[in-house]
Amino acid sequence: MAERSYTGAELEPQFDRSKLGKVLAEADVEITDEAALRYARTVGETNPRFSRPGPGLEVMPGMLIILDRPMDRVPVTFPFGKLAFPGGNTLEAYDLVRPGDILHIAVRLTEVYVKTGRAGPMGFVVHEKEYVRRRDGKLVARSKDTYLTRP
Amino acid sequence: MGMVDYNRLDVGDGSPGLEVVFSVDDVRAFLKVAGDSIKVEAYFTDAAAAERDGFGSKPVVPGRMGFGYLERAVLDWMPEARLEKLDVVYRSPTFVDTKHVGKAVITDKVERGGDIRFELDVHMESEDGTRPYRGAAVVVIPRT
Repeated sequence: MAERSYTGAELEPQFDRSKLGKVLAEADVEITDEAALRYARTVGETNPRFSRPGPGLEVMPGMLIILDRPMDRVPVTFPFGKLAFPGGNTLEAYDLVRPGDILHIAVRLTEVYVKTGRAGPMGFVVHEKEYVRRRDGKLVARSKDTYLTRP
Repeated sequence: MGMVDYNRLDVGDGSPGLEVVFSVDDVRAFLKVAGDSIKVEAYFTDAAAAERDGFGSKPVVPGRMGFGYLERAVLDWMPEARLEKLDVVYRSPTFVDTKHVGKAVITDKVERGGDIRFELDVHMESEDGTRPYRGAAVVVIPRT
């Protein structure tokens, strides 16, 4: 079967380019003991650092990527797109987060691009988040959320 | 949790592997914790919806849940580690009621100022040997 080829216009993502790189939404999220413990339980973590209530309790860094609440996302349409699905997550953690910390989270649309391979085109939409601790203004983490679109 | 001799760990060493079989109840619990941050698709908990959407006969495990298990696979192996980075690509779906094993392999080791910094390849392996999630991690074992 001949491979379907796509023209330039079909590969051009449609979205509001003025939003690229701008803060789309911001929110303060307080990490509670309960939330930190509940997250650790759902991934089966028994390490006392993350599962024993008390002053030494640490937040599992992976919890940060589910803290973003219903934040704005820029709608992006790829003319060739039929299937859209999560493509991956990246987390960089710069400091320990503990229950009681209030994190200021800001989300930006940072990249929209198309790659074409043997299987045809694939559209990438990347939103990034920064997590700043209110108490000391420290950037404690950054994360990336990649969404893919395929024909 | 046994003591780990981080000085003896070196490039090429691998984690014992964290075996997990996600159930629909596990997925429901995770979605509850994740709240609004994940778009709740019917195919996460409903086999008929998964089939209708072309995934096969089993519900799909949310990628971020697999991310959490890969994090745990690293931290179970290195319980004193501080996770500096975890980067995971979801290459294909993972399914409930299917055995997966989260693994990590050391690709670099640097000792500096008493701290030990490991770079790791991480992946989630399915029963058929495929690796639906692949990625990398960086952890630091602080000087005690």
